[in-house]
Amino acid sequence: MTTAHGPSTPKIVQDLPVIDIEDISFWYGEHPALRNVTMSIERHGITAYIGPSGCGKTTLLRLMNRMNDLVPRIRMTGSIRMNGEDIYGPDVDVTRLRRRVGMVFQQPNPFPKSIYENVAYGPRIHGVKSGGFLDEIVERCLRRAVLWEEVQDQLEESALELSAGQQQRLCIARAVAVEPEVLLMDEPCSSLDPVATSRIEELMLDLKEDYTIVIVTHNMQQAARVSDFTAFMLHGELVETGVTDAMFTTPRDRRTEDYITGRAG
Amino acid sequence: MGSKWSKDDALIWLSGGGLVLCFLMVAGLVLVIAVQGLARFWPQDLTRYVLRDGSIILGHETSRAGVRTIGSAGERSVAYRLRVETGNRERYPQGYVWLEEARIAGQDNPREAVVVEQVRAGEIFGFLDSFVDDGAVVARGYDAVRAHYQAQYPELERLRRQRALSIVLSSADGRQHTVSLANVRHIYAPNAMTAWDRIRHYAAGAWSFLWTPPRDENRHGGVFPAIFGTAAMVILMSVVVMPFGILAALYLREYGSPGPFLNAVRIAVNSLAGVPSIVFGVFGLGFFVYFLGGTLDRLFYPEDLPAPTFGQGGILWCALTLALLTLPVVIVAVEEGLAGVPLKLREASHALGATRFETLWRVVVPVVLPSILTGLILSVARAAGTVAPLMIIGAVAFAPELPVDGVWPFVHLEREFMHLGYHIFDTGFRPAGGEAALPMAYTTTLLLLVIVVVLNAAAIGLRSRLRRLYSLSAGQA
Amino acid sequence: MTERTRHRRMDRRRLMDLLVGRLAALGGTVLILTILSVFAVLLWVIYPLFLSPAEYRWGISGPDGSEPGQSLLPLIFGTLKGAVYALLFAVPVSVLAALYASQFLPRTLKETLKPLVEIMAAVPTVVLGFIGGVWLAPYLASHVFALFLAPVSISGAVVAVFVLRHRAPALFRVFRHPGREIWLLLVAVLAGGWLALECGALLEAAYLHAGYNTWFKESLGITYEQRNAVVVGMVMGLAVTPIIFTISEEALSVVPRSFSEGSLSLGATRWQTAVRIVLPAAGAGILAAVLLAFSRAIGETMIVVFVSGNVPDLDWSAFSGFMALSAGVALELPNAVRDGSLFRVLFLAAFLLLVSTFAVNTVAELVRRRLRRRYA
Ligand SMILES: Nc1ncnc2c1ncn2[C@@H]1O[C@H](COP(=O)(O)OP(=O)(O)O)[C@@H](O)[C@H]1O
Ligand SMILES: [Mg+2]
Repeated sequence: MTTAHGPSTPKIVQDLPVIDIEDISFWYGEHPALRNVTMSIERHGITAYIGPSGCGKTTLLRLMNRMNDLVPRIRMTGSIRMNGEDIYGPDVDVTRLRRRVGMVFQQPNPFPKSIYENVAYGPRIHGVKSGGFLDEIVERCLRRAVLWEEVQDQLEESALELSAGQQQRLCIARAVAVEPEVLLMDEPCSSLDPVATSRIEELMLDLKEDYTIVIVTHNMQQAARVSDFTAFMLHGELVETGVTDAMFTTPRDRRTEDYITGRAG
Repeated sequence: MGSKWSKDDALIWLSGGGLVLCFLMVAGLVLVIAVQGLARFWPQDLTRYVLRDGSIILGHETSRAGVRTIGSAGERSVAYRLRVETGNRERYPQGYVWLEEARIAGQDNPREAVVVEQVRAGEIFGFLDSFVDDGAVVARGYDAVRAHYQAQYPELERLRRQRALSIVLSSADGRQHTVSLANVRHIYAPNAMTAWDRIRHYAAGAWSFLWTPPRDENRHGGVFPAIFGTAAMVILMSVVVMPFGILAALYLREYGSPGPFLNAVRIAVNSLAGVPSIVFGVFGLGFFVYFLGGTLDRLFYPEDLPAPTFGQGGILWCALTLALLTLPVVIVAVEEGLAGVPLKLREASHALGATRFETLWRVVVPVVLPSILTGLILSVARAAGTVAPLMIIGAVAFAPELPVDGVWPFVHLEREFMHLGYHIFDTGFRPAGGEAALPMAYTTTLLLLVIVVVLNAAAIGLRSRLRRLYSLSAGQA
Repeated sequence: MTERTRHRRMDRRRLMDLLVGRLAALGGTVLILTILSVFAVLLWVIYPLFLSPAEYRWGISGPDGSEPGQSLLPLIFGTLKGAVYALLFAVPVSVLAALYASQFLPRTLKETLKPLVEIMAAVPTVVLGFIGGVWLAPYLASHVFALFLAPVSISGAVVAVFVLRHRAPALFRVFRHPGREIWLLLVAVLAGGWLALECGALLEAAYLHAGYNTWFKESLGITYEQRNAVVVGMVMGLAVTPIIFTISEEALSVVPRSFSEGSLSLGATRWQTAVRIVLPAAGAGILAAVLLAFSRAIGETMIVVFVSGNVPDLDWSAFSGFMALSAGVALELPNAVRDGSLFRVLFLAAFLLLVSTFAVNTVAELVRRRLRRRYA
């Protein structure tokens, strides 16, 4: 699938990180949410953010596709680059950025439309008109999200009738339909039962072939199971980051160890 | 990457334009009302127009309009003409003339030009010629007549009764015109007025608008009976609507147990809120006036029949009809208040062994009192502005007697009455006094608008203070 | 305190409780009786019409006051015409305004807007009717070209100011603050209106040689009546705008944020999100708002009395007047002989108004309830 990376990614950067976060600090009004966070997100891997709730994981994630732009009274310093380009630069088209950096939310949030329309929504707003082509995209994406078998006979029914797990997979299909490079997932399994959770995890491992995935999770087992890299955050600071196996076996920082072993947080 | 804004942002702006447009249109209409309504009392300069044919006209310009014409060769031209208020309705029955600008040879604003406000038959514009006392000329010329008039002014009332006083005016073209002082309310020379004089004149005019009855088929005078009638009707209505509104709200929120009856009451409130005001008027005519009023007449006033006493439109029936109309307003306001009383307050009271009524009386009512006041204000504002039902049941253009006066039994519930809103309809829709009554209608409209807006603003302010209070007390929980 | 006095006090307390409870129930009963008796009284007056229809001549004297017309049809038609033109004006403007207020306006500005809208809703319709009939109708009658131009020039001015702001941001630094653009919009709309007036005057100079009446006759082949459906549409539109605005704004605001976030995260613009996701999700609420406004417009009296011209014609033309049921009742009932045929027919007209507004309101309420259930 060549289109998955988008044509704007030159061969030469294929081995560089997709996203470089450099010295990011962030405030909601007077309340500091992030302090001097620096790290990079590797291409075609799954990067997991772990940490106690309120430590700024969601905030950091939402900075990567500028979903925080609309929150009033925010302030940010530092820079985030995607493929070397500052995404907060003056000439950036936010809608194009978000198309390249998709997002799946904590609560499944399908639109109150039919299943078909949910998946077709993204391609439609980006200019796909032909019905046949749309049908193709919808089927491909639903298959990609391992949902096709379950819903192929009820494409015209409301997406709100699906189970929570199915809804979340639909949201993944919807995100995949605009062919992003990076997929941000904010605790995608926190509202799902164990069966649905494991299906999503399988799906993530499968999607990693084509996409760079960033996932926030509460659940350390999940991070250990699916991610290649892990970052541990605490009180708005990035404590430690590294290859998942290493981090779970030999954490470098005391605080990471405490958290992993369940002594804190 | 593309530029930072797209045509979509322009669409957002367009939708914002919709919002702004709504407000601007309302603001524009209110502005027109305010300007027209407020300009009425300002003394305007009198201009003397000398026309090419030698005739002379004294008056003030009220508007200028272009008339399009096509010449014989097909060339287009616009001729402008002035609408000039002339007063002197004996000579100019309409009270104004159109003057083509091309006909005007010259114009000036003579300092001595005066306006004589008459009790009847409107204003006269002219020049003071002489002061006549029982047939003898006692003063002649502007300064002398003016001085004499001003010297006599304090005793005018007494002198007027003893002797035949009159003022002779000469109009701009030299005709003489005698005005009996008994018919003179006020004389002033607008062109000679200082700014301070004008302000005083303005204030006096506005004051008398509020406190005097209309004169001269609503072309002059004030709207006092309409203000009085509106107030009386609204008070009467409040007396009826408040108890029923509060009781119904209590039933809906406190006493009613869930079930079909409570649902029926709820549906009744909603339906009542949706009934058009004119339908209430028709209902009022059929039920209150003809049925109730007719019955009352048969029982208590049989000697007057067939002339109706209560069997015709009157202030009581209007008040009752508007009470029905504003019932939902009161109920909604009181209900909101009741809903805002924190449950823990009630529970605390119940836990101390208080009955439902005691809880209500000592705990709930004090908190809800401002909401009741809000309901009262809103219903009053609504009733003051509702006209349609009154057209059918009892408001009239001119009522010789007030509904409350010194004649026993002092309060005359059966009387027809004047109402501000109806007054606007009457002077604006088919004015008996012709176009000359319109300025008065504008002022009345402004007055009604101010009353309603002030009342509503008060209610809104009260309610938002209440909400803040509730949220504070909830926050402390 | 002895045992007995305590007992008696207890009884008094219970009695009071009981009494107030009964009174409250009485209040509820009065409400039910009222709405029932409204129906009953009207029906009581009307029913002879149905017993012997031949005895009663239906309708109202014609425009020239001579022959009684044949039916209420022109009045029913007039009511619908007025309501339709009012909605044609009000729905686009107020739904757009609600969309803007709910999606793009900062919270603080929205909070100041709400009381303003509430006050707008409280303006008595006799005031609107008066100013519409006495000032606006004659004014528009002498500015018809400007009226035609206004929609284009106002939107044009808004877009022009928008483009200017983005091309030359330095000029507009003051307005950078979110929400400040509302002042720019104000200027833009005013400028657009002014432009329409100026261009209208130019067009008049070029194309008009004997007033608009002749122009309408010659160019469009229709009669221009000063009090016409367009003016009614504008004035009554303004009267129902607060209803549509308030209810649709509420419906749009309760659409969960997660929907719009989902859309934005797919790279949709804010406008696409508002129109394709939020607007449809609030569709039922907006429909209810429009229905309620429709019912208000049907029952509205003073505005049509003043502005519609009260001519019982059957003509959809935007520039001709009409007579509405409500205006017919208000103007004719005071002159109708008690229990005469006109009297009964006017009661029938009132009954039609009652039933139709009742029906429309009920539908609106059901629609609204469905929406509430969905996002509860
Ligand atoms: N919209 C917001 N406005 C103000 N404060 C916020 C907002 N969102 C999050 N915060 C605060 O920022 C901090 C980080 O939040 P978040 O990024 O959601 O943490 P996490 O996702 O790790 O639980 C928290 O203290 C939270 O209260
Ligand atoms: Mg989070």
